[in-house]
Amino acid sequence: MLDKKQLNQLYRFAISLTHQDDQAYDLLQSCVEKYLKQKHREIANPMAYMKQTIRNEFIDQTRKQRFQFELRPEVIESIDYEQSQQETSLEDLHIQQEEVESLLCTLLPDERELLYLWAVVEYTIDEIAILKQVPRGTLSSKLHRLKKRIQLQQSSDNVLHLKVKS
Amino acid sequence: MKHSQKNTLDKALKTHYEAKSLSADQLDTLMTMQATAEENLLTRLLKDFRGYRYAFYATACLLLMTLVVSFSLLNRPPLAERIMHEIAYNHQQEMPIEIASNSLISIGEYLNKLKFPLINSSSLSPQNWQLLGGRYCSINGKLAAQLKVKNLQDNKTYTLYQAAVGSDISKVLTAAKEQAIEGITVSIWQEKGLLLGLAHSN
Repeated sequence: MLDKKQLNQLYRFAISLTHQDDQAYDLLQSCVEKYLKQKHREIANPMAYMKQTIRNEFIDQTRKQRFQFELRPEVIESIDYEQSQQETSLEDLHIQQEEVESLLCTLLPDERELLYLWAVVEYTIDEIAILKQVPRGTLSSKLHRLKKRIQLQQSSDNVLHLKVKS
Repeated sequence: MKHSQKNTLDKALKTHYEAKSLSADQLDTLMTMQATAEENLLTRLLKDFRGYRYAFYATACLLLMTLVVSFSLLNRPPLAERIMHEIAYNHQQEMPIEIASNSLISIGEYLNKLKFPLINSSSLSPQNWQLLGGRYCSINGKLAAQLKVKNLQDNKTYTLYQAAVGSDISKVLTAAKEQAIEGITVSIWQEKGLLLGLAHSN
């Protein structure tokens, strides 16, 4: 039986995908129902099972095409590992707390999930690659592009703020 | 426009998500759903057990029987001892002879279902022993011969047993053995490829 703390963790994970509280709750509820139907089977790690179920359910709901990140193979291969290690490091990015919500609004569900797993669950890139069943190179490319986008967005916001100020 | 101090991205995201939590009603709904499902599961398991109870009882009986058989097999006495008990039992029955003769050849011809020829044992010299007759008997589940012989020294009737030696017997009966079983002295040994046994009442 999932306890309240676990349910809240799963709810936050669902929010990282849906970015809408109500939709996240509906998603969680339907996945808890699915989980309960499987209760007669032995589930070794209920939290991992639930996260996978929530993810699959969300992909089904959004018909997959908007969720999945696509990158051409030649682009993946062109990214050198060490370079990507440096460029995909998100630790050096800074943000004001009130800007988080607007930043998340601009991201795709897949990107929000990636940030959630990295920042909140504190998974490494390798762990996320295993969980999401994507090659590490794909994930590095994605992080690289995500970082660039966030930086670009922040700089454009600053320009906007300056314009508003002046 | 006043801006708060910037956080690292991970800290900011953590703060953002930690502020999100299910309402008390939502938590209650999910917890109730789970509790109900647990109850239903228990009910279904009980129902399933009722449906399969005969299979369960049959399996339990089979298991019990297997345990009993295994236990009795493990506690069986050694083969040589079992044969000696069987010989003592055969002797105690005092079954009448089927053919009365003092000729081993004649007895052998009569007991023609035996898969081995009867032999004169070197342990029973003709000066001291007189052959009276014979019949079929069973030793260790196989057809064997029970011969009645008279000891001319003590004037007592003995029963002499001759049976084919299986590989199991030849392994355990490397030397002659003698044992008193319920007032009957039984000795067994191997001779000329046969198992021989001699029994007499004390």
